[in-house]
Amino acid sequence: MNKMKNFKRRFSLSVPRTETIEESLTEFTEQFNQLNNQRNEDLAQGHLQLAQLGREVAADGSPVSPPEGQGRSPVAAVRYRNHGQRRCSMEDVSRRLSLPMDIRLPPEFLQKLQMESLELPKPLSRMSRRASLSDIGFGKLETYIKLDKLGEGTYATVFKGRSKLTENLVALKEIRLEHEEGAPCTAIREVSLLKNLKHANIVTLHDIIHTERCLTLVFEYLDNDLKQYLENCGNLMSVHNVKIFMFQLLRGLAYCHGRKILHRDLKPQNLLINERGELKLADFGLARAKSVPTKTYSNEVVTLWYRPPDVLLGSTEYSTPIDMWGVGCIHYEMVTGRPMFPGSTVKEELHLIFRLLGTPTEDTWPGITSNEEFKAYNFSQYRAQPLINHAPRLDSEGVDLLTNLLLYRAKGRISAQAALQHPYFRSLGERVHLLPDTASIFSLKEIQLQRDPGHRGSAFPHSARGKNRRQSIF
Amino acid sequence: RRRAGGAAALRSAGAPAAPLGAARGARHGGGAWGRGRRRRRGESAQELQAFRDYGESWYRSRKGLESRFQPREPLARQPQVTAEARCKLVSWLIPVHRHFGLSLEALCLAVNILDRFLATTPVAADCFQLLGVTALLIACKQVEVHPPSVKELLALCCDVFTRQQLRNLECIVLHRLDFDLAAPTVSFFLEHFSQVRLEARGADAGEAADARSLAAGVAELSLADYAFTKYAPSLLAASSLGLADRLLRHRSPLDLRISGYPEGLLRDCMDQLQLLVCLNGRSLSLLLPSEVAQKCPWLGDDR
Repeated sequence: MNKMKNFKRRFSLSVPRTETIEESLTEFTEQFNQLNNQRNEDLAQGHLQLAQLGREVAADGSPVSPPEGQGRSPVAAVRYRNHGQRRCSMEDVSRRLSLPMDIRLPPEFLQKLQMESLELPKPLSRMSRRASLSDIGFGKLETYIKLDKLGEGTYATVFKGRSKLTENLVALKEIRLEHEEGAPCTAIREVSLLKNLKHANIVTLHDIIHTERCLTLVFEYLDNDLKQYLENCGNLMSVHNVKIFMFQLLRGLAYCHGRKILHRDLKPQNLLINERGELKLADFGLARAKSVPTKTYSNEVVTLWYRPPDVLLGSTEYSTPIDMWGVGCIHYEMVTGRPMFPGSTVKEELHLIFRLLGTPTEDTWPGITSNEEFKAYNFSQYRAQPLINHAPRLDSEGVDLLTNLLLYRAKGRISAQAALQHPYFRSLGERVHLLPDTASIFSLKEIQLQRDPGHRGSAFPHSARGKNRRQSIF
Repeated sequence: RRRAGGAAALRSAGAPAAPLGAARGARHGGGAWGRGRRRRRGESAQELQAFRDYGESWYRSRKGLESRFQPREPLARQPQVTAEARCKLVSWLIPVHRHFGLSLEALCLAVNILDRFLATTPVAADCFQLLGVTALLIACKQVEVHPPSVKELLALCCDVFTRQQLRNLECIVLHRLDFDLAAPTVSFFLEHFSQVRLEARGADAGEAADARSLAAGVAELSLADYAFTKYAPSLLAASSLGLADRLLRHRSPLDLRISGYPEGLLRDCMDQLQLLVCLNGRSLSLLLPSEVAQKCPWLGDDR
């Protein structure tokens, strides 16, 4: 009996073992074999006895009993019935763990905790590397000079800045950490995701500065985003440049998707472009959120223009095809110079989509006719219009790519990785597929931007600054 | 008569003795089962397509990050926190994460954050529980749509800690870990290996699903045991699946060679897991969906 108690108290392999465990293992194996043999016999005789036994096993003291009034699945009901007499109370889960040393909580324990840790010899080499980086100025706010304010929102303020170390321009994103709920999710996601992403078509996070109430992210600075770029060239881009931008967008996206990271909020404002014409994905704050965001960092209403119809109709599915729809919309916008579906409400957005691509049917979108939201909108039956009529500057390969991006059936949409191999990009040559992740597409001499026909004044936006400008731009 | 596996071990180590969930109801319109678990059962065509497009690449990238995120002897430098205390804490976090309907992924991340923080900073025993909920909060902010609120988490600790303390500790943890939070988890690898298995020709979908459920329970259990912090998540995932197949006597078990680990290493990890299962049969049966628990009568039915 005593031995039994002793055994019961053992919870883990981490505590010193006695032979009881070895015994129990043997016994377990025996019992396991016995039961299995028995089960086979029972099964042979058509008995269901063991299933019953299993049910009872799960019944008592289950930590996962269904809440009242919910989860009345047959499975849950079975379990619930069997331990109906056990009421669950909040106390069961909410409790102060009685840990080995149950001293009263000293009010200054957090400070103490911080102090102690400073004296601890740094165990990790990464730590010491960080220390040496900080000697030269990384991780310190005084390393960066704040210039103009670029924007402000509820969580973050963005400044243009300059690094004293490199003299380079940077974007400083200051995030306030003092909120009811602590550090904002968006900040945590953005930083932890970007730290693992090193790619020529993804904005580089240079440095993170953690002060008491504030987190400052130091990004590389890019003058333009795609929206401004389109405005600067009078919404008339060279179709060759469209192709180069598309390729870069897909390259960055394929890299993210290959790491199970979704962007979720692709739009021209989030695609930054520098003087060389390098395009980089930015604003990853929402990347992991599964819910459809309605407000941004800066508290602007999120645009619906690039959102796929499945999401507009309430789908909470969450996978890589979700980004591909937006890529199609952006492709169209670059080629035609106007947004593809500029709806201001969900209904208007869907209406614009269906008017151009046709109201979905069971053929184009299996299951759609049983979608309650779709039925409730009661859209008229539009027939699909040929895309070429709306984007006449696009060649037939381009139209084919666009068609494959703008499919109603999410799983049918072409993936970013596959899209890079699309014949539309054949004219860029073979070498674009062999680039290392961090190499810019412009490191290949055959890849050069052309002059955008709609561009007024100088050859390229911001070319007045000139000295980094590539000859090839002209 | 003494019954193996009936020790209700994790329970005696500090997990609540009674079921959770009923008192509070489910937060997000789901049952007491985590969303992750339910989602897994009704795997969508869209996710399957994404796996076909990128599964291999996801695996390679996570595998590449594994060693960077592996905690190394997290308790070696802790003056007060012991393996037993860690077990208590994690055994408490297990029902807590289920209570909120959180995914196994979130739980794994929380434990990873906890361990890596412990490896860098000595923690007083009396704020260890606060560290536990803080790690859970950070993990949820990363991967869940609706992280539990600070208020809810504090209430779970009987309000012995204040909001300000939790927020301070959150800042310290984020700073200490330098925002390196995207650790590869056992949950990811379980999903991956199971998906690969399903894609193979002649796959038995039923067996694959059962093995995945049982292995998820085993892996969840192993989080609470300090001895398993030395195993990489991909090794734990492969071994849990191997053990599950063995325990369920599957006809077409997962070919463990896809994990790339040598047989000896897999066998060692599987043996340790089997020992864990045998010590915690009752607790494990409570972690499993009932249809899977029914197939595991050897988990022990003593009470």
